[in-house]
Amino acid sequence: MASTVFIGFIALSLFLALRAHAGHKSQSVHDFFVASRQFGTALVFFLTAGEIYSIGTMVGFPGGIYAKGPTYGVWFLGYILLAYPVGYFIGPKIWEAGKRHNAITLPDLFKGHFASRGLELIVALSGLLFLLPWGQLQFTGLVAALKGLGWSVNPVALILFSAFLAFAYIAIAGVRASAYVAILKDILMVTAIVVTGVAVAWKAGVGPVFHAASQHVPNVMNTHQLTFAISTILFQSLGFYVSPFAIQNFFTARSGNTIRRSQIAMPLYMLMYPFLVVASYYAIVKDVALGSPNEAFFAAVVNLLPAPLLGLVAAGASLSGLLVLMGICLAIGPMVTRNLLPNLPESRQKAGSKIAIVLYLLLSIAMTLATPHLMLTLINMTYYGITQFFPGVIAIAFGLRVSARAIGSGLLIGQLLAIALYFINPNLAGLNLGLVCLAVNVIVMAAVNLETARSRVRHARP
Amino acid sequence: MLRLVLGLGLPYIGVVGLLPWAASKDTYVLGVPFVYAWIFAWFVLTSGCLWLCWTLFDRHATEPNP
Repeated sequence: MASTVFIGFIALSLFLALRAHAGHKSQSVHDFFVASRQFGTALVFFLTAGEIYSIGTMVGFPGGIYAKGPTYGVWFLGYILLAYPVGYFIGPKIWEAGKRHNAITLPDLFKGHFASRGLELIVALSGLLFLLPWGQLQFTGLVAALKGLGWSVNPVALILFSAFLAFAYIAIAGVRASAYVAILKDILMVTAIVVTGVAVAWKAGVGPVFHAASQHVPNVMNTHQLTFAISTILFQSLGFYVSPFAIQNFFTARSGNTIRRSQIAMPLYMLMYPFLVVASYYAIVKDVALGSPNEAFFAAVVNLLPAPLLGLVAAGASLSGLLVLMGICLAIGPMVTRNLLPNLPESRQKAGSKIAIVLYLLLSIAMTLATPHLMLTLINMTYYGITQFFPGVIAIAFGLRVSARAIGSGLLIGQLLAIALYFINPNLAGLNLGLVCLAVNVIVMAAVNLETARSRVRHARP
Repeated sequence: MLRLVLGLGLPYIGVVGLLPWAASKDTYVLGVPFVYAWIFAWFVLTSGCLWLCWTLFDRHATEPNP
C-alpha cells in the first residue's frame, strides 16, 4: 500500500516535469536555466523553498536535535531564518545586476561586472569544488530516509535510480521542471511533517514530549555552544544566498519586487519546524531504539502513521533529495559550459551542460559508494568555501568600486584559509572558522584594493 | 535607513543579539522549552518585519531603493 502511494507521487512528479515543458518546445539556454526571467512570486517561492529544505530537514535536523537537543536546533533554524532578510535586501540587487549583464550563472555575474576572466575562473572552479559534497549528501540522506521508513532497498540501485530521475527531469525542462516538481515536493514535505507532528502531540502530548527530551539533552546553552551558534548563524545567513544555485534561482524571477514578495513569506514556511521538533523527540518519549539518530523523525512516522501516509512521507523525502540534486546540476552544468570552457556558443551550451551534468552525477555516485563518510564530513566545507563569495557579490550588487584583483585575493585567501583551518582544527572556543576566514577575506580585499587605488594614483601623477 | 533597521536589524537583534538571554531561560512556554519558543516566535516576527518594510517602503518605491 505504502509503495503504491509512493510510486503514485513519483509518477505525478514526472507528469509535472512534462507539463513544465509544454509550451516551451525548444528552450534557449536562458529559458532552460533561468526560465527567461519569467517566474512570478509563487513559482519563485516554491522553487526557492523547494531547494532550501533538502533531505537535511528530514534526516539531519531531527538527528541533530535528538542527539544534542535544542542547542543544535537553534543555529540550524537561526541561520536559515536570518537568510531571508538578507535575501530581501540583496536579492533584488543581484537580480538587477543579473539582468544588466544578461547573466545565467554566478561566475557570469563576476565576469560581467569586473570584466575579469581570471575572477570568472576562480569563482567557477571554487564553486564546483565546494558544491561536490552537497550532491552526495542528498544520495546518502535518501538512503537513510528510506531505510528509516523500514524499506530495505539496495543502496546502489536507489542511488542510480534517483540520479537517473534527476537527470530525466532536468533534460525535460530544465529549471521549469524544478519549479513544478518543487510545488509537489513542498506540499508533500510540509504535509508529512505537520501530520506526523500532530500525531505525536495527539498520542504523547507536547509537554510530556519535551519534558522527556530534557532528561536526555539540556535546554540551555553554555558559552561554547552560544559562541558556535551565534557565529555560525551570522556566517551562514550571509552565505545562504550567494551559492551558485541560489543566485540562479534569483535570476528566474520576473522582477526585484517578485523576490521581495517571496522573501516576506519564506519565514512562515518554517512554521513546519515546531511539528518536526515534536515528531523528532517521539523516539525519546517512547524509548524507541534507533539504528542512528537520523531515523528520529521516521521512528514517529513508522510507529504512528497508516501505510498510505508512509508512502506520502517517503515520496516527500525522496523529492526533497531529488530537487536539491537537480538544483546543483542546473548550476554546475552551465558553470562548466559557460564559464570554464572558453567560447562555447550558446546554441551548444545546453547540450554541453547535459554532458557535464551526467559526468557530475556519475562522479557523485562513485564518491558516495566509495567514500560515504568522507563526503559527509566535508559538508561543512561547502559553507566555509561558498560564503567567501559574499564580499564580491555585495560589491556587484551595490556597485562598489573594488578591483577584481582585490576581490580575487580576498576570495582565494579566504577559501584556502578555510581548507587549512578545517584540517588543522585549532581551538577557536566555538567560533565558526568560516567567519574567521570571511573576516580575513574582507581585510585582504580592503588592503589590496587600497594598494591598487594608490598605485593608480601614483601612476597617474605627472 | 529605517528600512534596514526594521527589516534587517530587528530580526538579527532578536535572533542573534538576544540569543544569550533566550538560551539561558530554563522555563517552558505552553510545554515548549523557552529557546525553541523564542525562535519559533521569530519566524512570525521576521515575516512581519519584512512585510512592514514592503508595505511602508518598497511597495510604493518607483526607483529601486539602495
